[in-house]
Amino acid sequence: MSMLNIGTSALLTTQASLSTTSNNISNVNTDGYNRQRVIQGTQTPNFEGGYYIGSGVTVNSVERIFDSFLSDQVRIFTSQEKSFSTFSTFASQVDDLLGAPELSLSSGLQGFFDAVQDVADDPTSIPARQVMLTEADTLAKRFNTLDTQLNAFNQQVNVNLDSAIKDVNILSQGIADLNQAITEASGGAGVAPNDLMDQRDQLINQLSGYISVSTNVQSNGAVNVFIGNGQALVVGQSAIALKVITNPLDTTRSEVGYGPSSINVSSQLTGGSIGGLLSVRQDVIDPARAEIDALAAGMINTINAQHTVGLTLDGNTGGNFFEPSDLLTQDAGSIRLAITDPRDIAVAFPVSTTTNANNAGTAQLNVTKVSSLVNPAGGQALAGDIQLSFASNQYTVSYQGETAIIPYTPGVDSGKSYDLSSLTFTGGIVAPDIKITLSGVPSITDRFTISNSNNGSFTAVGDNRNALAFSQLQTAKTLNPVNGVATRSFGDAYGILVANVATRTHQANVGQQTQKGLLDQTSLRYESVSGVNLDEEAANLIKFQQAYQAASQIITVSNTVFNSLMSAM
Amino acid sequence: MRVSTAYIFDQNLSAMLNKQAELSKTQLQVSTGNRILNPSDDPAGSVQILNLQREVSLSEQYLANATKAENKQSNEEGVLDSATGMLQRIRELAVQGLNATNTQADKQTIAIEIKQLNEQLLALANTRDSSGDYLFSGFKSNTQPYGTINGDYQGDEGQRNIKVGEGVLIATNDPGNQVFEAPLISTTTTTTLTPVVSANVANTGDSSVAINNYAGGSDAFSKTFTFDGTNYDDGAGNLYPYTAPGPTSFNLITPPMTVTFSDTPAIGDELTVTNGTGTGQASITVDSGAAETFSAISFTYQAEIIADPLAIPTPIVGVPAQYQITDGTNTATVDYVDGISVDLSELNPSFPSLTVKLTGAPAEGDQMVIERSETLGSQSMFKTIENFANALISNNVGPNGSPNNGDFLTNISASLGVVIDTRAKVGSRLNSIDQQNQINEGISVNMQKALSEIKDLDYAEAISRLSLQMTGLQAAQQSFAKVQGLSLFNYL
Repeated sequence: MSMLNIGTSALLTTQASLSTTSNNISNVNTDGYNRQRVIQGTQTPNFEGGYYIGSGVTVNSVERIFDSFLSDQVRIFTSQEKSFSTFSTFASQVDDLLGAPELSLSSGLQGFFDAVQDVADDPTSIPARQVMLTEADTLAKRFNTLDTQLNAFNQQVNVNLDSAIKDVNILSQGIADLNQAITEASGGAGVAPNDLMDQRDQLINQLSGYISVSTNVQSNGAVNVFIGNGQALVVGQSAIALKVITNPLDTTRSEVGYGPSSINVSSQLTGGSIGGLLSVRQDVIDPARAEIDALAAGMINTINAQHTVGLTLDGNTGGNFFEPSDLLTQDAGSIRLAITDPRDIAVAFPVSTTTNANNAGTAQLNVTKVSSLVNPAGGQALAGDIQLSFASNQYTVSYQGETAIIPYTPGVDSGKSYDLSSLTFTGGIVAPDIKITLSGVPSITDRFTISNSNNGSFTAVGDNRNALAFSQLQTAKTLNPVNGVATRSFGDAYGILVANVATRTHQANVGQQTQKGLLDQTSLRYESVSGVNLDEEAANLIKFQQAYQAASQIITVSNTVFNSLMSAM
Repeated sequence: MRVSTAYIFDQNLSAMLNKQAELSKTQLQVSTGNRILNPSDDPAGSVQILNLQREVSLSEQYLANATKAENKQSNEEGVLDSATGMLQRIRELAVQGLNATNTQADKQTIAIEIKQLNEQLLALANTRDSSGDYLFSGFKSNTQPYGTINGDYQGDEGQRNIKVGEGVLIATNDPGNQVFEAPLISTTTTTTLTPVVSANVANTGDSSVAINNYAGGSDAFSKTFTFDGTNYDDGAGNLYPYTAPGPTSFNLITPPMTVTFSDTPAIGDELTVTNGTGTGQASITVDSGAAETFSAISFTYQAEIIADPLAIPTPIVGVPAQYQITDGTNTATVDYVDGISVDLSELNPSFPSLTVKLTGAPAEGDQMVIERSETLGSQSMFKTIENFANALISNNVGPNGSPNNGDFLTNISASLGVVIDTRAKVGSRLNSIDQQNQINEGISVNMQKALSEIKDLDYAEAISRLSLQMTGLQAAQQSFAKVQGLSLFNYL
C-alpha cells in the first residue's frame, strides 16, 4: 500500500471527523440532537515480506452518543413533571378562585348573616330587610359564579384534553413513520440512521410530556410505544389513534378513547399533561364542585326550613327563602333568591305567649323553636291555644281538649327546655313541634297561653325571634351529618373545601418542584453524555485540523519522495 | 463531568427565571402586606384566616348590635326617667290635694294639673323610637300601646332580644303592661260589731251570761232574757231551761251565737245581750303608701264615762268617748269627736301611716276593722290617676266605693315602684351590654392579633429576603453574561 493511499485514507477519515465535529457544532441548539462521533479504525494491514505494514485509517462508523437508560429516565421524569405542572396550573386557578376575597363564600356568608342580625336588631326596618335580601342575592350569585368558574375549568380541561390528544396522535403517527424510515434505512445499508433515531427519540420525549409511555425496541430497529396498562400506541409502522369521547353519564366531561372502538381508558392513563388533566379534574375540580353543590343544597334546605316556619311582616308564612326547593335540582349553579319583597322575609315566630294577668309567681315561658306549621297557608303553627297551668311541681298542658303533664320543680328545673311534641297527651294527640323554656317560680294556678301570632290579623311586626334563630345558623352545625349529628357549619364546610384544594395545590406545587429537580438532574446526566460541548468541539476541530494538516504532509512527503526518485532517474 | 453548552445556557436561564419568579412573589408580598397570597401558600393558615376573619367579623357585628341595643335602652331609660319625674310630681300633687285645708277650687286646680301630667305620661308610654316603632308595645311595634287614658294595653308580651355575643341575648324593650301597669291595691274598711252583755241593775239574784261563740256580723240586735224560776225567757217565745248554778249553754239561732248562763239568778232577773246599734264609720283619707300591707286594725268604741266622784265604793273617773285602736300588738286610744281625722302613725309609730276619718254615732262596744286587701290583677296607671283626679274634682276622694282612689297614694307608689324597677332592669341591661362590649372588644383585639400573626407579612424578614433575592438575581445575570463569553472559539 502506498504512502499516498495511506495519506489519502487519513485525509478522508479526518474529513469525516471534521464534518462530524462541524455537524455537532451546528446542531448545538437542536432539540433532541445527540452528539456524534466518528469511530475510526486501522485498515487491514498488508502482508509484505513476512510482516504486516499498516495501510492507513478508515471510518468504521459514525456513532451517536446515547444512553438509553438515561433517556428512559428523562422521559419518566418529563411525564411526571408535566403531570404535576398541569395539575398545579389548574389547581392554582381553583385555589385562587376560592381564596379571592371578592368571590369567597366565606365573606358572602358573613355579609349575609351580618345583614340577618341587622334585621333582628330592627325587624320593622325595610332598609335593613332590603340589605338582607341584597346580601342573600350576592351570596347566591357567588355560588353561581363559583359554579360557572368551576364549570369553565371543566370545559378548559376538555379543551386541553382534546388538543393534547390531537398532539399525541400526530406524535405517534410521526413515531410510526420514523419507525418505517429507520427500518428501511438500517435494513438497506445496515447502518443506523442517527438523525432519524434522534428525531424518533425526540418525538417519544415529546410524547412523554403528554402521557407516560414505555418503549420496546424491536430487532429491526423499530420502537413500540405503550401507554396506560400496556395499550400499544405505536406498533412498528402503525400508530393507534386516541380519541376524545364524551362521558355517557356526564356529557360535560370528556374522556380518552382508545383504538377503533374508542374504549374509555381515562382511568388507566397517568403522567404527562393528559394524566395531570385527568387527575386535577378528579381530585380538585370534581370534589370542589361537589362540595360547593352540597353546601348550596345544605344552605337552601337549612335556611328554607327556618324561613318556612316564620311569619312575614304581613303575617303570612315565610315560604322558601332560596330556590330551588326540589332536592334533585339544588346546586351551586341553580341557587337563587325566592323572594323579592323585603316585607316577605319571615322574621317573626308564628306563636306568641301570654302570661295570665293574675299570675302571682315569677315564672316565665319562652318559645325557643318552632319547627313546623299546621296551617302553612294561614301562617298558623297551632290548631288551637296551648295552655299551661301550674300546680304543685307540675304544669298541666292542655291542647285540643286533651292534657299532658310537664314535671316542673321550681328552683331545680328552672331554665330547662321542653319539647311539646314529645309529651304524652291523654287522648294520644301529638302537639306541634315547639320547644319552650320554663323558668322562675310559679304560684299555684299560674297560667300561660301559647297561641298563634296570626289569628286572622297579625300585628306582632316587631317580633324578631325567627331572625335570631336565623342568625344562629351562621355558627350552628347543620351540615355533613355523622351518625345523625351534623358536624359542620356553613363556614366550616367552605373552610374545609378551601383547605382541601389548597393542600392539593400545595402538594402539586411541591411535587412539581421535586420532579423538576429530578428531571434537571437526569437531564444534566443525559446531556453530559449526549450533549454538544462547544469547547470540546473546538478542541476536536483543532485536533482534526492538525491531523488533516499532518495527513496533507504525508501527501506532500509522498510527492517529495516520488520526485526525489524521479530526479534520481 | 462534561456538560453540554446548550444545557449550561438553559439551566442558567431557568435559574434566572426562577429567581425572577421568587423576586416577583416577594415583591407582591411586600406590596400587599400579605404573607399568604394564595391559600396553597399555607393551607392550614388560610383556613385559620377564614375562621379568624369570621370571628372578628362576628365580634364587630356584636359590637354594632350592642350599640343599637344601647341606643334603644338609653332611649327607654330616658322615657322611664321622665315617667318617674311625672309620677313623683303627681304624687306630690295628690298629697297636696288630699290636704283637708284645700278648698274645692284648689282641689280642682290640682286635679287639672294631675290630668295634664297624666296625658304627658300617656304620651311617654306611646313613645316611638327612631324607626317609628312603639317602645312599649312588645312585638306589636306598629300598634299604639295605650290608645286613650282609659284604654287597655294593646301590645303584647313580646320582648325583643338583640344578640350581643355568642349565646348572649339582651332584651331591648319592656312590654307596656309590665311598665305602666301595677297591681291595684285597695284598702277596705269593714265594720264589725261586737256583742256586749249587761245585767239589769235591778237584778236581785246572782245571775250572769256570757257569749261563747259569735259568728260575727254587723247586724244590730238586742236580746233580753228574763228568769222565771225554771227558764230564761227571751220574750220572743223561746224558753231556755236553767238549773242553778249552771253553767248551761244554748245555741241561739238568731243571732247565731252561743250563750252560757251561770250562777244563781233570782226570779225576775234580766240579762241582756246587745249588739251595737251605733252608726260609727271609719275611712281612710290619706295613705302615704309607706306600708304596702298591714295587719287588720280594729277600732273599738267606748262611750263616755261620766265622772262621779261620789260613787260608792269607788269614785268613777270620767273618761271621754273614745276609740281603742289595736292591730293585735300595738295599741292606742283616741278621743272621739264626730268627723275627727287621726294619723295613726302619730298615735303610735308602729301603726302604718294612714289618716283615718271617724264619723257617725257609734254605740258602746262597736268595733270597726280596716284592713288592706290586694286585689288580683293590674290596672294601667293612667286609669288609676284619672280616677283619682276625677274623684278630686267631684270631692269624692275617700272611703270605699269611690273607684280605686281611696288608696291612691299607695297605688301611685306601687306604679312608681314598677317604673323604677323597670329602670333598674334597663340599667342592669346597659351594664351587661358594657361588659359584653368589653369581652367582644377583647375577642376582636385578640383575634385581630392572631389574624395578623398568620396573615401579615414580617416586613423586616421580607425586605431582607427581597434584597437577598435581588442580589442573587443580579449575580446570576452578571455571571451568566460572563460565563457565556467564555469559549475556546474566542481563541481560534
